Amino acid sequence: MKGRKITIFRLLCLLVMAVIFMIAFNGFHIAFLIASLTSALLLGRIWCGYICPLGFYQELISLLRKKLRIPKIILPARMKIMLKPIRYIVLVGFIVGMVAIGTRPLIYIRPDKVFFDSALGITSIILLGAITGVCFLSERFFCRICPLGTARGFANKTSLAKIKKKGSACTHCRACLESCPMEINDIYLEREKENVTDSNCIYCMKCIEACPEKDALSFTVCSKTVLRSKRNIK
Amino acid sequence: MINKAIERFERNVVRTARNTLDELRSSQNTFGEMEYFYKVLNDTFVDLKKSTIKYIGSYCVMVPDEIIYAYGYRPVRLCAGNSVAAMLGDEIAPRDACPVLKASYGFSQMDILPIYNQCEIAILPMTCDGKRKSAEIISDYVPVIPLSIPMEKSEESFAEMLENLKSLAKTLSKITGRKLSNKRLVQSYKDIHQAQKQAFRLNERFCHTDSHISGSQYMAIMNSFCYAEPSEWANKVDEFCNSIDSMTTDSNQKRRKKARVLIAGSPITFPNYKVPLLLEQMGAQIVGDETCMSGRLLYDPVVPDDYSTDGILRALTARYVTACACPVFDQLDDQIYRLTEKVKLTKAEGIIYYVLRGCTPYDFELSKAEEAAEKMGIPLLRVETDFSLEDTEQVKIRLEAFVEMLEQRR
Repeated sequence: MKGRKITIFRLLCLLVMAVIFMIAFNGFHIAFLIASLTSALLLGRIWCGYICPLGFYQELISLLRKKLRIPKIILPARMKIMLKPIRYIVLVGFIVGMVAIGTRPLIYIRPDKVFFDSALGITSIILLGAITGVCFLSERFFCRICPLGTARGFANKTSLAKIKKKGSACTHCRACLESCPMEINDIYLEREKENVTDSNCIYCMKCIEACPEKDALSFTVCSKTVLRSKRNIK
Repeated sequence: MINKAIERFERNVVRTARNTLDELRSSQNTFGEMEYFYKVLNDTFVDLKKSTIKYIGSYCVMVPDEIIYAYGYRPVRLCAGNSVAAMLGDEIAPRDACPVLKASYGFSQMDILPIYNQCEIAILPMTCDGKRKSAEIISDYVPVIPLSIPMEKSEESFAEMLENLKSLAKTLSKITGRKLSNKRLVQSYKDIHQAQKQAFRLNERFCHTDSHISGSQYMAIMNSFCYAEPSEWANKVDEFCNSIDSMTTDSNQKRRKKARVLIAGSPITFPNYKVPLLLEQMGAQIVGDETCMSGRLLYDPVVPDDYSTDGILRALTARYVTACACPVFDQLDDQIYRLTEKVKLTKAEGIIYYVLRGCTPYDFELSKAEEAAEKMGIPLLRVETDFSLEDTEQVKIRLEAFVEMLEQRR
């Protein structure tokens, strides 16, 4: 697990953003909303991987799991297919809730406040416990059904940031899929298409970090290559 | 009478191995660091050094060495390449079986090689037809654990293979009475990971345009991994790479450009270095090799996502089976892509496609490889032979013509 500079950088980003949200969220609502919208329109789900405090929480508990050497749970293929419509149902429900009832889920911005709220109802405790438990065993499980993520996912198709794959250099060693928190199959299977950015991709770069083949995977912004996969020797 | 026959057999086995080693040693550019690798091969096949090490043998490259180390045993590759042993195996195996099997049967039958004698269990992956049938024959001499390998590379077969590996671990626990400990598994993963890193470094230097190592030397180094201790081997390769690096800076004299040839196809195991040695004699330079006992043996790294036993087993399955470019799988895309990439990387001018007589999977792959070679605009020569030295002259003539043609093409 050494030499994972990109992940360390990303976790630092998440930490800094979580702290910023804790200190300076009040009073800057509009600014954060605009930032969130522009980032989603330009770069798709990059918010999920680098800013979202709820994602940070999930990543922390999976780090704990990895430290304890508890194996992750891989969802069966059938369940993965089922998750797809569930994502959209949750999204529709979320939008309806926002418009009709006016729910403003604080958990996205300040998960800490929700967890340490003294007036927590029994249902919320059960719900939070269940989400935490599932996310502990399956990395970033909530992100797979998260309504905000699904909405940003639509922008992934037109995003300026892209994960690209050179199919001929791939040896099908599956390292990318094994490390992918969103379990995106295409990145491992695809050989013909160059652009492998999935609507679920949160740009965590773990695939590029894991890939041992030179230039097989790369991350581009405005078709300029920012990161490339390479073999880590020493 | 029988004792005398065994003695003669032993003498011949040792002589074959020693001859190949002598030829390797006499080749140009001998580094002092090579001595360690030659010594490993010498101890195993010439001096027949006995030790107290307990081995678990394995065939093919689909059995993860990490699991065997985790049980406190030393893994050893039993796929043999000795022509004398192959002659003996001819008695048991059908005529059209491949010489690797014949030689392995020969060694299993005769108790002369310590690596076979000290081997307590043999793990046999069900890859090609020959290996599948071997389970029965070899089980007369050593307990065999057959390891079923799914012949396709889908998501379902990955799950199936993972289960197969887990049951292999259970079987090993039952036989050895030990448990698969996470600590030892992670340690063995780290040791072999080091060896894989060093093997990659060596390969980079080997593919280099001004390579200082010859193909047969490279093959000997990679092959010696099967009989050596991984961390020691990794250290020695590290030293070797460092000394190559210092060479490149020291002397930069221009040499006549040799024809660059890539070897692909059936496994080339010590001491069966007939084709690579002949190629080098004919003035070609082997710049890459895509055979499973050397170039591909340590190429892919194991990349676990977490260090739990399950996580390591997943990574092992991914590396040893999903990424395996053996032609026994249902589709050949991976193999052909690899060959193409290798040709691009090494700037090879021609491909020698080595087919062991009776090794049908590779013969089936040949037509695809020919297509790929045609696309790249380089010639491919199919060389079919076995371990015996009888056809040396014929092979030599063909290789000589091929190398000459490559030089004419420039």
